[in-house]
Amino acid sequence: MKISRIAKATLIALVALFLLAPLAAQTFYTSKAVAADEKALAAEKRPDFSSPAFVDKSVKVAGLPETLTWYTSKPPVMGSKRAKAGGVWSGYMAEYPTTFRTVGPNSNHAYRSLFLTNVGTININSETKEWIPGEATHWAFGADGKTVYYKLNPKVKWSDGVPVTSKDYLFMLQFMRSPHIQAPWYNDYYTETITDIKAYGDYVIAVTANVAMDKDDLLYNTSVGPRPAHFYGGTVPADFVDAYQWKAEPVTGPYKLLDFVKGETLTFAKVKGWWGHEYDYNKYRYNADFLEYQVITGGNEIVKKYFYDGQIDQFFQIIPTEWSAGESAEAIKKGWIDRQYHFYVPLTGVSGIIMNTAFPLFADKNVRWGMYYAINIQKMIDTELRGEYARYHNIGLAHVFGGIKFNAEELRKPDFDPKKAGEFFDKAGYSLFDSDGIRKNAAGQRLSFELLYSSPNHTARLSILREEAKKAGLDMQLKLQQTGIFTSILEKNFQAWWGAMSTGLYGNYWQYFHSENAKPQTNNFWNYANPEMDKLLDAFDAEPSLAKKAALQQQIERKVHEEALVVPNYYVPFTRLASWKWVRYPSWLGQQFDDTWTDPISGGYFWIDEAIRKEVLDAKKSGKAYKPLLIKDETFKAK
Amino acid sequence: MKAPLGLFRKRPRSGDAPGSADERAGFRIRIDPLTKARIKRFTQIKRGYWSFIAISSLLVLSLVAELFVNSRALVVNYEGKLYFPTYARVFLGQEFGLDYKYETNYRELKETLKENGKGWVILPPVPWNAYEQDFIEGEYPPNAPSAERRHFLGTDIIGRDVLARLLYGFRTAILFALLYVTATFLIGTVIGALMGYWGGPFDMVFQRLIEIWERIPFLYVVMILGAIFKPNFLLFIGIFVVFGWSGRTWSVRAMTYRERERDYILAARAMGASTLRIIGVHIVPNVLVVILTSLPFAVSGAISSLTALDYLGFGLRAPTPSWGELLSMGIAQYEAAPWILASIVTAMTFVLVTIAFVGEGLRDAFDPRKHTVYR
Repeated sequence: MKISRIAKATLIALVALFLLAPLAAQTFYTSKAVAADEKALAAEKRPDFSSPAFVDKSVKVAGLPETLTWYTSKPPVMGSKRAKAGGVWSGYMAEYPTTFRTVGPNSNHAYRSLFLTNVGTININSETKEWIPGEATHWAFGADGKTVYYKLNPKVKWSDGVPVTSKDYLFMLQFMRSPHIQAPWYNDYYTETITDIKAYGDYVIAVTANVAMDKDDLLYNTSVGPRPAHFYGGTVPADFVDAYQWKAEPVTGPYKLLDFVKGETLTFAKVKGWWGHEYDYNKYRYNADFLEYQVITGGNEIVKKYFYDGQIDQFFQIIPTEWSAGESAEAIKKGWIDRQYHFYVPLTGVSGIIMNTAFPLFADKNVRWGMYYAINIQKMIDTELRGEYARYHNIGLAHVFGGIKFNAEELRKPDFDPKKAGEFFDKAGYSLFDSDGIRKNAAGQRLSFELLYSSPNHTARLSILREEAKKAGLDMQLKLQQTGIFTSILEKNFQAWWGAMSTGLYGNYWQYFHSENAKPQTNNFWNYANPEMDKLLDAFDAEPSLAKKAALQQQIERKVHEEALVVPNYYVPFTRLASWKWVRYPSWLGQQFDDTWTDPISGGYFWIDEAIRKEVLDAKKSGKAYKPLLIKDETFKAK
Repeated sequence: MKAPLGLFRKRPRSGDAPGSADERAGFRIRIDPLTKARIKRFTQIKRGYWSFIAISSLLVLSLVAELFVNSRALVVNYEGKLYFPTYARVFLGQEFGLDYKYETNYRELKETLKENGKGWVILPPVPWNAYEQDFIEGEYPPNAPSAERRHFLGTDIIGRDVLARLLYGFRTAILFALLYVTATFLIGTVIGALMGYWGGPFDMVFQRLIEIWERIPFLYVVMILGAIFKPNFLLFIGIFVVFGWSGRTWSVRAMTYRERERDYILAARAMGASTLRIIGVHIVPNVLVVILTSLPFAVSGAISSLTALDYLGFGLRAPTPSWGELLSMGIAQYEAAPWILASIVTAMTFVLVTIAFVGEGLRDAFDPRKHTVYR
């Protein structure tokens, strides 16, 4: 009797244990600081970032040559109120900077921006592309349509404590025009485009451009930064290039170089009592006290090892296979590393299969239209790219400036359709079939071309296009050239190119499609010449009004679509990465046009929570697992 | 005059020479007793012998790989007519009543014909070729091995059958190696023998030429030529042969130097034999041992070089199936898709070790200490 009761109890206990066991496994460990911040994170709402410019009638400046209307804007707090100041952030450099100078020989390296954290007179709002104040609080337009007046913020200081005045802007012009800096591009820009800078007292400057432009264009071209006159003693030394090779200039930005070990590390420190926090939009930003960069060579696989080892704080996982591999990483499964995934609208230029019309096959518009149907971009995205990249239909994206949209957003490229492609190829005369199923024309020429590309990573995805193109009787040979590819491109020595170009605030299509450039050593990769297109391009360049420019740009884009010059491929509509748990982010991560939120200097929105670091390292030591955290912001995901 | 010591001996036709009808009808290959003994010895070295059988059958099998691993059907019976697509031209879908103008998908055709009863299809055991991609709904390649989908070694990162790429990659590699070795040995032996036989200025000039030639960095040349020309199979063989023959001359040259001082050469010369005859009939058969025993190692060396070039991305143009590409993919994906690395490493190890065993067997079989007395 007794035994059976014990047995019964044991049985019940066992069953209970069995039922509860999965529940127990589901409960994750958490710690005090992590729990507190995660609760705050859940409650955090995306703010309204808009900052429309308005006329500030209260500003009166005496002693100016003309009466001015001063504009300003009041951007809201853009950082997260959860942010904590302090801590050390660890990052890496793929190679050591070749110089600490920001102009002159070898200064255009990948880490130049670390030494040039200057704020600029005014800046662009990354969410709305509106103007926001920087080193200048107000701006005004001269009657000539070429001059902008900037009222400087008297609180701005160099990182060595010396106040910034109009003298530093005058010195900047002198500096940039000096032959001693050995930088012809800057010499030219600050002579030809910026024709003059005048100072009116210590805190007003007037910057003049060469031609009358639309107001937004004018602001974009005249928003300049100062150079520290006191640092150089007011003149540019003749031996500037050598003397300042390893000297970092004072900056007006939030971080200055503190220490370095040549070839190994760079350490930046937050400027004490940084003036920029005066502005609301800079509050809760630039939180870390120190930024440490170490050189890690050997590519992404090596960087990954450093990251999982905890030596660096962030690791990008843009590539689909990298992201999915992250799923199985122990530190991510156990929640010591969080992941952040933010959709945005990337500024994108020409990208895809660029067809050289000098190659006889592509001289025929029917063949080019057939390409639209024969190249299965969607399948490539759905398979190799795991459906994560966005299909691209145009030659420009996110050209939004001065509140005006420049892109013909309605353009859509047709879906893969071998039958339709066949109809176009038939029209072009390629209606017979070779013994291997590739089309040919009556003269025996095969429907075949070489696609030049430079990244071995792309071989797999291009192989998909190649196999699919066969269904349209099109033979696409893959030609990998890892080095010197752009030389071949500029020589126009290719048939088709799998390439991409960067772009400015709006399209600069003259260089690409004007007949004047249909020759080697230009960016008209298509060798394309068409009088109608020339007319549009000339009109675009001559047009000062942004609204009319935008309408013309849209016409150009439609014309390019209609002429089938490019088979656009894809763009990456997100930034995503893995970060150790002590790197904390706002719940909204970034803004509409912003991919700099992952960077401590150009974004500066995240912060380092040293209390969480301690807790996570303890949890890691004892093997305790947090609930894995993924912050995903899909506000700007393309529909 | 002593009989030349060699593997094969050609005998010129001679009207009054005794012999069989065969012999009188023309050249005849006579296997001399020594060669017989060597072959016998080789068959007795079990490891080498079976390796030789294995690698030869694999080679033969790969030459007709289309019959086993291919997306094209072996036989199609459509509306009473038989088609054999394997080695024929491309049959477009519309020829079998399908609504497309590209190569018929025979796997689908099989299902279609089964349903509408208009015929039947016999597919190879692995109905995939080395290029086509198999994407499974809701999954992303690489896909694990699956007997049901007939991917016996799984798929690579874009859904191509690993077995198919392995087999066709092997065919490319082994054919490459055989052609390369044949060509380099031919050129190397001829030039080496002439250097040794003539000696003097000819020898001197070629020695210096070869020394200079061999200093040209081979990898850079491959990279440069690959960028200029379409890197196809023939170009590769060409480049390899152009840079590979010189290394083969040294040992033949040295051996020839030794042989030409022998009495039987002197005798041949005294009888008025031409240079060509002396080299072809007397010297080469005698130095053949050196060449033959190093042959398998040259073959495995060539396979490794081609693989290495492909691995570095300077090999044959994508998407040609190649071992180097599989190897680099396997290494990059070893966590997500261990079957790729496992397949290629197993295959490479097997082939290279097998060839090495053959080489080892040959060396032992030809070892002069084993059967001859020094003459």
